[in-house]
Formats: sequence, C-alpha cells, structure tokens
Amino acid sequence: MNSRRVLAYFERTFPMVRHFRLTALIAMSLAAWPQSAHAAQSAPKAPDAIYKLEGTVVNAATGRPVPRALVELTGAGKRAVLTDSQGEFSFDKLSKGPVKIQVEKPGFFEPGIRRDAKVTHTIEVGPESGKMVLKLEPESMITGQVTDESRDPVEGAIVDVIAEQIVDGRRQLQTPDGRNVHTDDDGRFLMAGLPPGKYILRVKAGNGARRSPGGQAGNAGQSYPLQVFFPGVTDLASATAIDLVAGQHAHAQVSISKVPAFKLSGSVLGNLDFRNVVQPAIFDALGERLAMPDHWDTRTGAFEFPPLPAGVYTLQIQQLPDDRHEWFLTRTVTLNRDVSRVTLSQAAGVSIPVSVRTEFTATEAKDCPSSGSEGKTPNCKQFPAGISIVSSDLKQMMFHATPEKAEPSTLSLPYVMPGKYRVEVHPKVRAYVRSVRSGTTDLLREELVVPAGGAVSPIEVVLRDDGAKVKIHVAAENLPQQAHVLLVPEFAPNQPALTLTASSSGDLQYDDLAPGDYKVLAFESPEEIEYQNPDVMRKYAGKTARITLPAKGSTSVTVELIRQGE
Amino acid sequence: MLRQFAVVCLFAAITLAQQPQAAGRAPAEPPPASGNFQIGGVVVDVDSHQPLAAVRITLGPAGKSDAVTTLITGEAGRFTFSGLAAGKYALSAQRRGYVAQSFNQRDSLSSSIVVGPNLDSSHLVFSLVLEGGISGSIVDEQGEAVRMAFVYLFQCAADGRTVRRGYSEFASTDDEGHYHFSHLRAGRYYVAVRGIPWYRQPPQIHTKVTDAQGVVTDYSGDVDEATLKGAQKVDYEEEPPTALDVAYPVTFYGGATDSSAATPILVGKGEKVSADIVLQPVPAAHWQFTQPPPAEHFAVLLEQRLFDGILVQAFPMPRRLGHGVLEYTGMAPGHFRFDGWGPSPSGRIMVHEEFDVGANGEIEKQTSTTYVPVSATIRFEPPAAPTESINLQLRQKNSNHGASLRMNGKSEIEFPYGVERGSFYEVAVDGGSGIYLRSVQATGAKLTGHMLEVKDDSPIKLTVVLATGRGSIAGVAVREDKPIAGAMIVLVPADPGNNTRLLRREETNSDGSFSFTDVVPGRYTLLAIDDGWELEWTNPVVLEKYMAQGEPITVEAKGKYSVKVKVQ
Repeated sequence: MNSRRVLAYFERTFPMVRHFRLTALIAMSLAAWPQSAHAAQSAPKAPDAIYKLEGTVVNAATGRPVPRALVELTGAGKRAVLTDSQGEFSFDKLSKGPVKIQVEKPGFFEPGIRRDAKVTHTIEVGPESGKMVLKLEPESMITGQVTDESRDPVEGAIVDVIAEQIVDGRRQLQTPDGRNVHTDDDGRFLMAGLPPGKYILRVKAGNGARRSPGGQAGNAGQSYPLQVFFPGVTDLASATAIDLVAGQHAHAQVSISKVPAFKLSGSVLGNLDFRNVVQPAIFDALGERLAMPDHWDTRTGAFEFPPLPAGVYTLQIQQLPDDRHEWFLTRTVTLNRDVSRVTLSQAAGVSIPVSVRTEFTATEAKDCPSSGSEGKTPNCKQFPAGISIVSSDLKQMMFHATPEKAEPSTLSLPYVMPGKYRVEVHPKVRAYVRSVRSGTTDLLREELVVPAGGAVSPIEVVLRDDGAKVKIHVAAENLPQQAHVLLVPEFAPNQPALTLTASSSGDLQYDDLAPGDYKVLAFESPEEIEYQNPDVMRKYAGKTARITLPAKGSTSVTVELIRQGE
Repeated sequence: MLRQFAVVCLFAAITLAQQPQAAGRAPAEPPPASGNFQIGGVVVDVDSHQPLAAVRITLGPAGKSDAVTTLITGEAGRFTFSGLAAGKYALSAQRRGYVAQSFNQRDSLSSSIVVGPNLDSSHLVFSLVLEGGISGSIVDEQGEAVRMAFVYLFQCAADGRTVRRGYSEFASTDDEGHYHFSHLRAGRYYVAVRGIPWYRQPPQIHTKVTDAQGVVTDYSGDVDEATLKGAQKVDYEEEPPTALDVAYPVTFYGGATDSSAATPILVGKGEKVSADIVLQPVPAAHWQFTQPPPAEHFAVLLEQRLFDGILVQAFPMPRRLGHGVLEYTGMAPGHFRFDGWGPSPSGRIMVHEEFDVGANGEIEKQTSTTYVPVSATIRFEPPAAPTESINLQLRQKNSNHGASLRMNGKSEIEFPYGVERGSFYEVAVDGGSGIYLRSVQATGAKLTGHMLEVKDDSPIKLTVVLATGRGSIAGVAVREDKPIAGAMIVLVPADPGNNTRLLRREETNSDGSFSFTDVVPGRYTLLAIDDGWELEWTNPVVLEKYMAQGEPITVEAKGKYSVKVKVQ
C-alpha cells in the first residue's frame, strides 16, 4: 500500500490519529531502505537540459561550510555529489522544472529533524535558479564516565538521556528514540546524535553492571539504585539537566553508590489464567520497565524480585492484549525493609459502562472500514466507535472498552485502576464525536477521575454524521513540499488536535469535522507543537486563523505558513 | 528434517560453550552437605607474586553454576571457604584489571578443587594475569570517523600459528569512530575492519515490468520477487557507475587488505594497545548471480574468506535485477564465497561459487562447485531400532560449512544438497545418548578413517554402522608417584589426523585426577604433559614425540577405566 493511501485511510477513519508521527515514521523507513523501489514519475528526457543548480551546504550553528556532505538530486533519475572543501556543490545539464534535493552527512542533521530522518526540498530549476544554501545542524554529544563510591569505573552500566518531547501538544519526558549506550571497562560512555536541547542523563547500573567487586551476588545486602540521574541523584526531580547547544560536546561525570537492598515478593489475586499475564514488573515514571522478578509462578500468580535497592516503586502487572478485558493492576510499594505478601487484585479496579449513541440524519448505511486486521475488534455497526482511556499518571496504562462477557451487546471498561484519565474516541464510521460525558462531566474538556473504591458514572458517547467540511489554503512564498496544518478544537481542549498535510500547492480539504470553533495553524516543519500550552500558542497568535464550522456546512480559510524557528 | 546449514550454528554453539567460565566439564555432583573441609589460599599477580586484594572469589560444586558462594579477598589476598563437604569444586576469580578466570585456567579448561580426607586444599595459589585491551579509531580517506563499522578481532592460538576468532569476536564503532576490545589475555591479535562508505551510491537501476494485462510500470530501483510474479516481461537497465560507487576493503591494522599481509598486534599483560585504521575507498565490484528456477524461496549467503578458513559474512542484501538475477554491489578486493540453496523441480539444489575481487573491482578466478549426491545406509550393531533423534553429519574440513541430517529412525537417508566436489568431509554422528560411529564405508569417494575425499562426480554411498555404549576413563597424572595438578591430558585416537573428532584434551584437578566421559570405543593413547599448553596439540606431528611415553588404552563399549599416566 502506498503511504499516501495509508494516510488517507487514517484520515477518514480515525480523525484523531497523529499524522505528524506517522509521516516521520514513513520517512525514516524509507531512509533505512534507500534501495527500495519507488515507481518513477515518467519524466521525458528533455532536450533543453542546459540548466545548472549550484549551492553551498553550511553548518547552521557556525555558518561555516560543510565539506563532504552528500547532496542528492532526484527528478528524472537520481544524481549525487559530495560538497567540496568549500561546502559547494553543483549539478549541470538539468531540465527546467521541479527537482527534489536532499542533503546529509554523519554527525549532522537537518535543523529540527531527528537523527536519521531526511528532508526533501523541492526546487524549481530554470534560467533564474540562483545559488542555494542548504543548512545542516551539527549533532551534540555527551561523553562521560560512571564511577562507584571508591572512584573505580563501573563497566556495563546502561546510560541514556531523557528529554522533554511534545506528544499530543503536551510536554512530556521521554528517552528519544529509545537509544542507550553501555559504559566500557573504564566506565566511559559516548552519547552522540543529540539535537540541541535539555537532557537529563540517566545511569542504570543495576544488573547490567559487571566486574565491580561486590556489585552483584557477592553482597546481597547492597546494590546500586535502579536508576541514577546526573550528577548522582536517585529522583528525577533533583536531577540537573544538561543544556546542549547545536554541536556542543558536554562531559558528565556520574558517581553512583550502593544502598541497602531488600526483598520484594507477593502475589496476584483472582481467578486468572496467569499464562496470559505479563509478569509483574517495576516501572518508572516514563513507563519503562526497571526490574523484573526472579520468579513468577504462572500457576499461582506468586512473584519474587531479586533484592532491590531501597526506594518507592510502582509495581504493575498487565494482561496480555486479547480481544476482551485487557487490564493493568498497579500498586505503589515503599521498600525500606524486606516486603513480602504484596498483593495486586482486580478487585481494586472499577468497572465503567460505556455507551455509544448515534444521531444520524442520513438514511443510508454508514460504511465500515474494510481492513482485514480489524477482525478482533467489535463490530463497527454495533459499536461505531473505539473508546479507550489513557492514564494521565502512568504513561503506559490505557484501557479499551470491550463488550461485556455476560452481555456482549454492551461495552464496558473493566478493572480500571483509580486515577485520572483522558478519554479517546475513534469513530469507525464516517461521523464525528458530538459529545463524551460521564454524569455531568464533559470529557472533551475535563479528565475522567476514577476514585479508589468508588463508582464512576457511565461514559456516554454521541456520534453525529452532519459534520462540517473545511477547505484550507496555506499561503506562503516558496511553499514547502508539504505544509503541516494543525486544527485545534477549542470546544475540546483536552483532546489531541488534528494534524493534516497540505499538498505542494498548499491546499487541503477535510470532511466530517465536528461543528464548533477551531484554531488553524500551518507549519513548515513537522515538529510537534506544544499546542496545549497557551504561552506557546500566543507566540503564533498573529498567524493563527480562527474558524467556526457549522453543522453540514462548508468553510474555507487561508492560513499563513509559520516558518521553521519562528 | 533438514538441517543443511544448521552446522554453522552448531559450531557457533560450541564456540560459545568454550568461553572461559567456571570449570564446567566435570559431571554435576549433589550440592555440598555441610562438612568440615575447607578450600583456601591466596590470590597473587602471576608475575609480581604480590597478593591481590579486592578479588571476588566464587566457589561452587563442579558442574553447578547456580549454587555458588562468593567472597572478596582482603589486603593479604587470602580467601577461605570452610564447612565444606568432600567433593569436587569449581573456583573462579575476578578483579578489575585482571582476566576473569577459573583456577589454573588454560583456554576453556581449568582444574577443579578436590576436597576430602588427606587432601590439602587450603594452600592454593590462585594466579591472576593482568588483562589488556585493544582500542582505536576507524577513519575514512579524509580522516573523518567511520560510524557503525564492523571491527573483527582475531587471535593467534597458543601454538602461535593458527588464527581464530577472538573471544569478544567483534565490536562496532561508535559515533566518533572508536572501537574497544577489553578483557584480553596477553597474546598476538589481528584487528580487521569492514566499513561501508556512508556516501556510497550504487548505480541506479531502472526496471520496466510488463504485467499479464500488458500494463507497463517503470520502477526506479530494484523490484522484489512478489512484484515480478506474474509479470509477462521484465526489462532492467543499470546506469553506468558514478564516482561515488565505491567500497572499503576489509582492512587490517597496518593497512593491509590481505590477511596474509596483516600486521599482528602484540598485547602484553596489562597492556592497552591503540590500533587506528584508515579506510581507503576503491571502485566497488559488482557480482551477479542467476538463480536456478523457481527463484522463490532461494536463500543466499555471501561470505569473505580471511586467513585460513575463517569466513565472515560480507554483504547481506543483494538487489534484484529482473527475474531471478541477483546483484551484489559494494564489494572490495578479497576472496568471496557465495552459497545459495532452495527448492528445484527435481528436489533441492545448492550452488556454491568462489571468486576473487581484484584491485579495480574486477571479478577474477571465479569457480563454481558441483555438488555430488550423498546417500547413506545406517545399521546398528547389535541390531537396534533407534528411538532417539540422531544426526548424521558431514563436516567440511577448514570451513564452518557442512551438512547435518536427522535420521528420524530411518535406515536409508539422502542428503538433499549433497557435498562439494574437491572437498574433504569428516563423517560424524551427533545426538542420541551413548551412540557412536562404529565404522563407515564409502563407495564413490575415498575414505580414510572417517574422512571423506570427494574426488569426482560419482554419487557417494555411505554405509554407516552405529553402536551404543560410550565408555569413560578416570585417571590420575603422576610424576614419581606424586599427583600433578594443572597438567594437560590428551586422549589420542589411532590415526588422529583422520579422526579429529575423537582427539580430546582435559586438565588435571588439584589432586592430579582427570576424567573423560562419553568416549567412543577404540584404541587410544593417553598423554600427560606438564607445561604443554603452548603446544599445537591438535597436530599429530607435534604429539608424535610424546607418544612413546604415553599410556595405551583400549576402550570397549560401555567400558569404565581407571588409569595412571606418567607426566612428561
């Protein structure tokens, strides 16, 4: 399936899907397989191949030329050259018309783009094409050393960085690309390929660290903390962020010390088939697994962890995803002595009924998507929307509404753990989400609060088919190949915005939008925008268009392109 | 049923099992009940004889790696484990800056500590050797770091002649082009690097596919077999190579691109050696291969030959030029081996080609191998119906290739791919407890011992006689009636050159004892050699001068033997 078709499919069926990430993913997979086939545009070999394209590749941080950068030109065939010692390149014998140009060099990326991704610029070749300047931003890196309390190097420790990234318009902490490195026998590490930004350096010396006397089995009463943040603290809040500018090489010395370690054991309660259950694990605030048990009994649900350093941990257990009743159980455990008989129980969860109502005006049947992979999900005629709730506290925790075992015609969210959640609704038919409510709470605006031991009012979803149509034109001189358009629903502030891609002419059209007020913004780069932050949005106020979409109506709007770095 | 290439993995598994760990050769023993024996001694630096503090000493019953206890030596380097029951124990030591090793460790062997009445196990001297390392930078023709290059480590065996893969077999360069091999024993090493010019541009391919309906689609790039399926016509065109169609040869430290001219790296005890390598691009070679029909499900492997018989994987992804034509691009000078195998109308087919890539990317000395069919009749003596899974193996000499076929209780089997003409193979059996190869006869090929020489295209028929009941030998190595610990014991079969699988060695324990289990019945000579660890022990010529002083022994089926061997 070609990528454009994939996008179109998602646009129609899941309006809330995050297009930015999808596009980035596709770009990366193409970059990884440079040999893969693309159907070529049949470009006739023109006799007027007399034009020249020249330019310079410069280091965006220093302004200096970048020698030996690879410049690739695709149009009627592919050509590639390396820049000379002055960073200059030139292609001759070109025909008039558009060509695509890409630049890359190890140790650099395109400004605003993650490692290994490539950006294609479209250039018009002709008699007036002047000298072009392509910018590359140098990677930053952190080198350093991990040592123990006796200043001996720690070998085999896992080092990674945590950075703030924007997901669904919010800032959150993540390990970019999930990359990590190991310390060598001198305790040294090199973390390269970082875009400029603030990073928290993390060291996991736990079970991976080798050859440090007394580090493991030898001294069962002590162990390194599961994670230590630069410069040597165990809680994320006290960590010192390393602020890197483009091309900077920072050095970080991390010192780790052993702390008392304790045993942790217990069991999962309930009449469950533990063979379908992922063994309990300790998770960090980023949703990453930090420690796993030594023993996990799939007959009884009993578990036992190896001695763990003192600390406060989130213990979690998860049912393997199947077509019904996926669940998570979590529990916070303070480990300052040996703790046994910790229990996790489904009884701690709350079951929330879910209903989907349609208020359809059209008489003809609504079409369901015809994808084969949907076999396991409930019938879209019976349940015209997928409903899930995502924990605001624990990143990896989400629940999907599934038909009740006893009453398969009704949906519910079983065993939901106490906490705060965002509700996501994905219509499976051509419709928009009119409202999502639980009792008097408007879940398009507010979070769902699940109290411990308390009941939660049923979640009621209303879908309608009298959606609005919008036509957007992105206005700019020298339009990029793709402009990235953000539609922020003002009536549903806690819902992800819609991100769409405009064609090279700057146009796009979108149907089945919920009526209401929207902010419309267009960006040059597909970078995630922190649209949930009013301060960030204020910056773009001058280039934000506002539209009100009436039911069954159609609206056109022109929006000015926001350039990179604006 | 089919395991033609599983032998490669099997050999890898053997290599892994030989990594220096606790002396795991001895049979498992019950966990120690408490007793009043002890194991103790002092850890010293092998050269300075100074005691070493902060050494982590691990002790466990021999053959049981999970029931271990650990202690850390103090200033005087002393250690004592007490309250032990009589038995055999494995002892190992680790300290930062020293090679982690088992007691008296030699290659993958070590001495177990035997504890019991009248045995002194509390005055051990555990010598540790400072570890070395090799690290360096890989840079390209302009002095820029080469990222993600593959760096191989080869090691000269103790005999100083054979080259083999190092324990930490390879590393890859980081974003600054650095690589690092740590925890190395002193010795002679070679480092080679395989890198790909990050900017390389293989020539463009244009593929024109005419489908069954006559619709023509142009593709820039290669096209997968699925797209070509059902195509009426496939035309492809390759553009002429550009200046960026280059490759880096596998380059050794010192700059040689030929393993025979490589500069060895001498790592002394505790020495950290720096070895930088510069990669120079050469015009990339292109090699094409036409798959035999049907082209689907045809597996391919391209390897480069280094030193004598070491094969490293070259470029994993060929591209497809039209129907059934594969093209490997980006090869630099060297000797390559290509293997392809898959289904054919008459069963299965295997192809093997070897070629050299010359200095300018030209293909030279291409040879193509014919495969000779091999079938085997299996008989048990005394007659028995094998219930277990037994594999009949044909192991190619000087390579990690070969064929392995599961018999599944059948008495007539045929190797689906056959064997290479002009090659030597050792016949062996694997699996099935106590099963051994009693005799083998061949028609269509010359057989010496268990070594098969495939001379011509005549189909080969093997008659294999299997028997059950391997024997065992327990012994003690003595010099003037005094047991010697840490001596090398070699079990030499009759005609060792053609029975390499039967040639084995062990190391004596702290009380001079040793044992061989699962010994294939036959005539042997046992040799005990003190300080023999530098010998090329697998070479019959080297062993010749010790044979006269060896202890002959004939092992019968299911026989158990106890011997005393004089240490030479």
